[in-house]
Amino acid sequence: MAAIAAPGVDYVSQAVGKARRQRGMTILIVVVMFAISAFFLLPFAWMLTASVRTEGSLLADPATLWPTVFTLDNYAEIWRRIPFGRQLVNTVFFAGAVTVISVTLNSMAGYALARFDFPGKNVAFLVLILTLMVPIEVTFVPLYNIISNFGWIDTYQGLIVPRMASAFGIFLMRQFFIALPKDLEDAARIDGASEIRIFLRIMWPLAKPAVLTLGMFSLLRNWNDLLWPLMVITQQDMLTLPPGLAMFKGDNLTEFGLLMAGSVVALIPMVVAFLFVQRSFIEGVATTGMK
Amino acid sequence: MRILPAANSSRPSRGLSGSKAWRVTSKTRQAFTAWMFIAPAGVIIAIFVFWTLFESLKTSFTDDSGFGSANWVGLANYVALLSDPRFLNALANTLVYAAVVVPVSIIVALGLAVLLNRPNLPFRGFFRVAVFLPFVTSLGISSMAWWAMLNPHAGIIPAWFEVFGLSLGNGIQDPALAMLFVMIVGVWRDVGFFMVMYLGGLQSIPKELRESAQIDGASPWKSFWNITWPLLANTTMFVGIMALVFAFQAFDQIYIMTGGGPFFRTETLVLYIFSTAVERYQLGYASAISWVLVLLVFVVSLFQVGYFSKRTVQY
Amino acid sequence: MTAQRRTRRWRVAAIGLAAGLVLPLAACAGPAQQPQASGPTHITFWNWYQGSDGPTVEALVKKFNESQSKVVVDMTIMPKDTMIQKLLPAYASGDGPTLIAVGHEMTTQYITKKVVQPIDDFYGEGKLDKAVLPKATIEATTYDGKIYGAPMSSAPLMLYYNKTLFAKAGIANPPTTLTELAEDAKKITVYKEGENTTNVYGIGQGMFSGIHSWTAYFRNDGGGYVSEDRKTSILDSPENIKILNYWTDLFRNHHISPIGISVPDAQALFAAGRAGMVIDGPWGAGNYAKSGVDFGVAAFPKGSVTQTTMIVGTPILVAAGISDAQREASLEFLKFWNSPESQTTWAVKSGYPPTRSDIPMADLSANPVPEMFTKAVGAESHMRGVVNFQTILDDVVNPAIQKVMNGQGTAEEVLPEASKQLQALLG
Repeated sequence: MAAIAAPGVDYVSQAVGKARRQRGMTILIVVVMFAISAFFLLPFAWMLTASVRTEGSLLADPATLWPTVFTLDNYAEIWRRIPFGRQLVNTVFFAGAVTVISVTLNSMAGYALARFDFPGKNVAFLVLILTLMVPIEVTFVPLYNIISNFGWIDTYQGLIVPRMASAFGIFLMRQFFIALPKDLEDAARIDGASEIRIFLRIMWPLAKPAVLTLGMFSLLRNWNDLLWPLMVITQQDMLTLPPGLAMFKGDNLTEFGLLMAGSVVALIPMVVAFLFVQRSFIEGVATTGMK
Repeated sequence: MRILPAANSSRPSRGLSGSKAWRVTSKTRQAFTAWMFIAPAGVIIAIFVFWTLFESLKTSFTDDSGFGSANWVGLANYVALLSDPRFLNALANTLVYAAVVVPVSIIVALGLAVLLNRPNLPFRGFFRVAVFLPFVTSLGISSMAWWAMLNPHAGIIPAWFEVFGLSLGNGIQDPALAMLFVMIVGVWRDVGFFMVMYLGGLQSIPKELRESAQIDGASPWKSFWNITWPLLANTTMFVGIMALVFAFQAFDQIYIMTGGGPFFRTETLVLYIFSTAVERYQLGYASAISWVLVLLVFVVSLFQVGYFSKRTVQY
Repeated sequence: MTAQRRTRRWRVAAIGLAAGLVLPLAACAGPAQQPQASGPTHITFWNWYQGSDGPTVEALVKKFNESQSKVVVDMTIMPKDTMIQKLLPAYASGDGPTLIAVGHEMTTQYITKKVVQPIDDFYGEGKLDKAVLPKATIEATTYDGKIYGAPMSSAPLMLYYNKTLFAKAGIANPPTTLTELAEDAKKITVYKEGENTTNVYGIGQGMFSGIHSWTAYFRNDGGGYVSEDRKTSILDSPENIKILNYWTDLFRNHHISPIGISVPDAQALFAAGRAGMVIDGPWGAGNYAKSGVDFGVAAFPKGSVTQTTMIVGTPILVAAGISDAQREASLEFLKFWNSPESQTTWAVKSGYPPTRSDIPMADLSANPVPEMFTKAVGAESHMRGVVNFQTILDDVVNPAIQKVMNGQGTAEEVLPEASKQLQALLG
């Protein structure tokens, strides 16, 4: 629909004006976003500065952000006080294994719930949503008992197996698969492809943005999980980082410098992972449409 | 979902007429395949989630106190809840918290997504990371940072306010303000995740739709409200449910920043459950409270799903 | 159905089943359990000594294990909440630890749940010496006439005071009576409305989230929370009402302390040099030294009726249903822990006063703090024998005090209601 040029209207300066307004708007947005980002980043600034200050200076001058005394002692001390390296490896292994396995199993289940018609489908979905909402405090004792009865206390399988599937993951994948065009698999089924093949060749590649989202979410959740490893593991060598770092929180006193130093180090892999994933995730969503 | 019959497959003879037999088989095949795909995840969830949930439901009908006999008391725990002022207080706090945090999170997340979706925005990547970063770290740790920074007498934020002659008063220890601060931290934490969801949703809206609206002379606000917002319905439903679940389960930052105080002003249901189960060992009662919470979230989620499924978009 | 389709269906089934069954088995196993050797007796020990005392405890346990070959102590340190949650299910399934170190406030709970056993026979000639061990801690673990615990750490709460702030206000000595405390606090307080981050307070009084330090305020002036026999609540006694009103007036109108701060906040305030006094235990000394506060320690002041202070301790309890060998092993460890040598190490490293009163102060000269904390007067576990000790403090007493302090009701209005709640918890 072409605009018809009307006499007496200066389209050129109108366009220039509009461009200038656009740029002005962009600059305004950038300024606003910097302010907003500052708000979002503030606690991290505190964590970072707290990790390079001595405990004494943190205590004496709590209301200043900029370090009055600068020290890297905390970063050295965390390796001495707890088996930091070993716990970091445990965290990578636990979070990594759970993420890979659970994304796979959750995708399969979400796909089935979304694309197949079978008795019990709606009930299964409703029950799934129900389980999303239960706080861990109340299932602690029965869960602990099951793990204990399986003899899985202080074992890697005890840590990983119960986490190999999650209601949230299935929910997310189901939402994604349901939004895909309805008759996608039909052509393949007509051709006689097996269900596994359909899933692997057609559905899985399309699911990339959802898989990345779920993977990211799962990785973060398990990397930062404090209570679950504490339930299953008692030996310090087998703990992951969050409970490991909790050692710096005494009953009466918290060693902030050490705690923050450890937390900063624990944070870095997750930030890297997010940077890695964010671009492809968002663009992937746009092209395949997780709407 | 209908599956078209293959051209040259042979049909089993089960004494039924040809096409009916095929449909029966395909339904069975669907069900079989579906359950096979669900099985691995299903087994895990059945054992570690359903079973423990069921156990906790059973416990809610007993007077379990951690050790020794747990006697069946029927609905006594649930009845007791109705007249428990601390429960009603926690319920009210939880509802207030959710009623504020959920809409605010959605609006802020969507707003940020719209801002960051602007073409040719410099520093976009930096902003994205900044807003998402709270979601990346453990809430237990970041709550400690917030607690330290918001300390009314020794914290950085009140100190900065005082430089400008403003005062945050008793801050997180003020009965009137404490809830506000834990809400802020709650929104701060989750908004990045929702923003990323919305960014994806926004980018999947065909640009032509918005552009044609602009050519028609629609204002940015109108085009947003009439085109963008309805097309984001799926995302909003998902974000809405997740925000609701997160809000109803709010615990970490409240536990660390205010401990549920001052005098229970910020105690949410999960905090009350924690106190009842872990500090008082009243497992039966704690389970009952948990199940009330579960049902509450479930009911509200059903409303959300109902509201949005009428509006979901299929391409 | 074609043979092809049938095979495919079975393939799907096989993969589905396999994934569900094999994956758990394929995950690698953790370290193998130690087989019970016929050699030394193994006993397990759970506690929540996180923080800077953890390494000291670990070192001492290691020393014990290495110094003899009859007993091996397998210790696990975990966060308090986790340990509390795991303890009962562990005992219920027979996997509970042999020894547990729990705070004073939890001991009666475990005693009445019968997961721990009496150890009266651990005390006596050649074993644990009652004469030198802290009476208050032993009393705190006595129930129905039987002793259930042995001391692990025990410290009274005392009054830290900031010598610099005191000198600035022209006060020569720390207060010896509660009235003096109020007066001194008023002199030290420099308060301007709306300047919370620069105000200086006479005392930083924590109201929740840590060691409860209000009890002595009430006890010393004739009040208290429960009757001697632990059966009646006396929370709304006229003495209590008077005492609470007195301090509320001082806090609200004279601003001698911020209102509604947590115990960690109070500690932080003192460490930053902005509070003249704080009630705390030996664990605080390290931080206050690090932050450069010139502090002294005095006994909690006398009231008009008596002088007491709260004792904070972690006794060790012994699980019920253990073998005789494990019981003997436990005694060996408890003897080791409370030996003069171990206690000297413990006191010097942690700042806690030793559990034995017969250690010469000269041996503790490497750390001045333990000696300061042996000078407390009237240390007692005010809520000993009450099952819901911590719950009463957290859910009834602290909120009641906070309400009144925040102006949400007078003591006359709030305390009777709170007293009813306390009574209900006394069961």
